[in-house]
Amino acid sequence: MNNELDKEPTKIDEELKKIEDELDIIKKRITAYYEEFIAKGMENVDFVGYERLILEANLAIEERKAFPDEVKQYEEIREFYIKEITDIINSTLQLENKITYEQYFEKVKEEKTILNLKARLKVLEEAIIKVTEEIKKEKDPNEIKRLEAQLQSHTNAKNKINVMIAAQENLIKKLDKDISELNKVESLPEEIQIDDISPFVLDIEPVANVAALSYHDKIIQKAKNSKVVKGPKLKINLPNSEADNNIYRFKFDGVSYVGNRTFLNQTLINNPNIQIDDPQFNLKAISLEGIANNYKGYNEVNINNQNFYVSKKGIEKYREFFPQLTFIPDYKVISNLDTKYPDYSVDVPLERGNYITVNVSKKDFEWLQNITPAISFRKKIKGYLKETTENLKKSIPELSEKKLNIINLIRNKSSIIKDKIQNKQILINALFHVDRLFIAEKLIDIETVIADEVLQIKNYLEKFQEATQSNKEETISYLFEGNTYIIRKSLVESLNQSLLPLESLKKERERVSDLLLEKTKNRNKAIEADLIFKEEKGNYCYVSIATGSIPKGVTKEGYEKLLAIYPNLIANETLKQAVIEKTKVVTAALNIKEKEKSITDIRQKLIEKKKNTLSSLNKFYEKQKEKIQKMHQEFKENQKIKNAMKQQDAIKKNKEKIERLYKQQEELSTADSNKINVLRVRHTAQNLGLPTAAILGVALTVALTSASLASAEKTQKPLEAETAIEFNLDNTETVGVLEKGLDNLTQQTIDLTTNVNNLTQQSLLNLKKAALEIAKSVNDKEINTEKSDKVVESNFINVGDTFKSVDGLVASSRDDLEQGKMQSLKYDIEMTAVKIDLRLANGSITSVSIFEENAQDKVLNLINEGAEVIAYLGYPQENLDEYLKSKGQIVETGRFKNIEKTEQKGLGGRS
Amino acid sequence: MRYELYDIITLDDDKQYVLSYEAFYNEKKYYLLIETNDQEELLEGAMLVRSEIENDQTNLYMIQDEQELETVHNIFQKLIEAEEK
Repeated sequence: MNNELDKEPTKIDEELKKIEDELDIIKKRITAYYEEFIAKGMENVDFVGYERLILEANLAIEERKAFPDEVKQYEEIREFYIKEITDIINSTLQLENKITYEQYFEKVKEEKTILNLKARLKVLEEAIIKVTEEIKKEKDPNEIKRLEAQLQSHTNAKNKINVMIAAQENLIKKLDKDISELNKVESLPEEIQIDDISPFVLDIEPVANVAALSYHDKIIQKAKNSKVVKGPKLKINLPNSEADNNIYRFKFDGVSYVGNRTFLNQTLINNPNIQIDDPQFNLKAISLEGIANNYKGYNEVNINNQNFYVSKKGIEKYREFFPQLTFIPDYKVISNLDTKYPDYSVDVPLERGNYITVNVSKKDFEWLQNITPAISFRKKIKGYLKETTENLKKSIPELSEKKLNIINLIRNKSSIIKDKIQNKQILINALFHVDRLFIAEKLIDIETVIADEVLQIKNYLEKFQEATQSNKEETISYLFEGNTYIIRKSLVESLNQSLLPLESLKKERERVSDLLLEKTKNRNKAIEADLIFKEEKGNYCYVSIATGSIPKGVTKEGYEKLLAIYPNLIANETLKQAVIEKTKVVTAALNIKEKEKSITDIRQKLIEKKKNTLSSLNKFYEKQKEKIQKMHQEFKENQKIKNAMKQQDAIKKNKEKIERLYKQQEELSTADSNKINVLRVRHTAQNLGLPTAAILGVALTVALTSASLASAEKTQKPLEAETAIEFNLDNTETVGVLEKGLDNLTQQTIDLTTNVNNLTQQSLLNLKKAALEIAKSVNDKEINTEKSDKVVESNFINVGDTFKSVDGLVASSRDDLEQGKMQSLKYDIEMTAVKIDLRLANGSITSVSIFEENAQDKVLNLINEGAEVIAYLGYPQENLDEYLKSKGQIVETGRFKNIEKTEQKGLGGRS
Repeated sequence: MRYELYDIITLDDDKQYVLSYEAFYNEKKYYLLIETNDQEELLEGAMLVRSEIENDQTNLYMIQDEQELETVHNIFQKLIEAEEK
């Protein structure tokens, strides 16, 4: 019992000590709070940030008057910050009052404890009793008076002490109440600390910012109302697909397991009583509830919308289990973080893609990083200096004022520029109607003004930037990085806004300059062309240099000069043929602006008139096709005509050659006109057929001559016309021309009207004979045989047999040899057995033997070079053969195959 | 001078034409010219020409080859038919 009694006070003491310790802790914390505030001082609380933000909001509202929605947003921002400041000031003041009471309490505790008061009271009470007894005993009235005064003093003192005790008791009660209040204050989430509401939140874009802030606001409100402190919320939504690696939570014998569908199907459903010993499964088969039970805590984990509350270790366990477990932090995270002595400022992801910036200790930062990879480091808090704050206080209004000034300046300049641009637009419109050059000059003036204005703006900006830099830009960007950016950004935007019209103006000016340049060029060209028209007046061709202008006549030089200036020049009449194929383009008569406008119109019209276009295209096609075909037809006909003309020319030439030959022959014949009678029969080329006629010129020549021919060269007398007989062996016409002196012959021997086909050999023979007879009668002269030797080399005498080659070669016979009259002639049969004699262009005479290689080609070449065929010599084949055989040579019969003997025997006639 | 689609040009027949369609065939550029009346309206006249750049100058040539004409005609026909309204 005694033991128990002994124990009881110990227990009570322990409890009391525990309570006292707790009280001590509370008191210490209160003291710390107070000290902190005293150390910082109210004036050092950073309200500047809020003031600045309110100022920013005001500016933003001012700037965005034209955009009510944005104004509303900024008004909300402004209201938010005003409220924040008010709240902070109020709460700060409240805390301060509480701490004043505490201070008083501490003083009482040290100097006038209740105990002391009560002891003093006891002393006083004893003194009062003692004095009261002495008064009763005392007789002396003076002494009684003194004692009564003393009693009164003690009574007053006693009353005073009683009052003091009552006050102290009240004070204790109040202190208790305050402590309780302070406990509540302690549980307030620390993010309401001024440091935690970071001005850097404004770095987020305005619209998102509003959302973030309002969400922030809600978080604070929630945190204020919340007394339960919970950890971060971790969330996982398990997939619903039937993929094998999906994880399902299920219960087996009252225990929850997690596994994939395969496992579920194969092990649990098919074998409900299986003992699970698969190590992998065991790892997985930890029940969610099991973790929750083993790691109790206040961190909320949400898996498939089921909440578990676990410790930090529990979270790690779940994350090990579900690596895909994602961290969805909410206000509870913030309220659970150590933000009292922050080391880092971090952006914590919130729901709906928002972020909140929180100042946290290094430890919490690391923990956050570990559990929430999405967290992003923002900056270190270190360097949060009093001096900085003061500087900011000073610089912010100054900067804001400067910014306002700049904005106003830009606005003014912008308005000036706008006016100028309007004027410019008016002028541009007029530009296409009046003198462009004049207006262009005006435009340039306007531009100069605008450029000056822009220059001024730039100067202002530079000054502003200098001012910003001189105002410890480093500090500004360090602490107000985001807001400095905002100031600059808005300025740059304003400037860019102002410069935009300038750009378009610049482009317009370039365009106008180009137009003017082109116009000037065209003008210069026109002046030059006028000069050419004046100087080179002529009628070589008529030229028009512009649409609708009357063509003017110029000389060829003038035309060429003009062509150098206007490559697409139209030249009428004379030159038109020369350029008939080229479709000349006179103008591309549109200026750029009109063109742009017209493109759309034209395109639209083309689409509308699609059918018409198609039909036009087809019509053109048909027409052009017909034209081309006609042209080709004409071309062909022309070609025919040309060919015919060529043929005619060839015939004419041949005719001339024949005539020439005839003449020569005649001349030769005339040389010995007294003795020689020549009968020439001429075929037309047509009768003989090309090309033989073309090559040889003469188809048939029958020359009758006498041995007296030898003297022909000597005498050089012309042949007597009377002795010649010529007839044309034409298919259609047979003309016999019997010259003077042959009339009798005609009458006696040949009917010359007979068709050539009927002109038999006998007829010819008869004709020859007649002719010789006549010749004999007419030319009864002796032949000088001696002299005839000289003639032989250049002449030939073939009288008698006629040979005709397969290609029409006909040679005359030479019966005179048989008559012995040719004995005197040096006729070398080896050389001239069958030959063609030609007179070359230089007058010399050459012979080509038919036995030679390519005899015909040689003859052709010579003729082409201007040689004329004089005669063709035939020789009786058998005679030649005999001759050659006699000479011991073998006759190559192939050679002679080319020569068809038409008459074996000699004419037999003899003059 | 070089021409572009929808340019309006005046030819030596003193008529104005719009370069209405263009097509490439055998590495050459062809235009379908539609006669126009001061851009006010499109007339019925049409012409197929071949464009050739010579000395930095665009010249338009009438097509003289029947085969070439036929091919180009087909191309333009298809081109116009393919035009979406």
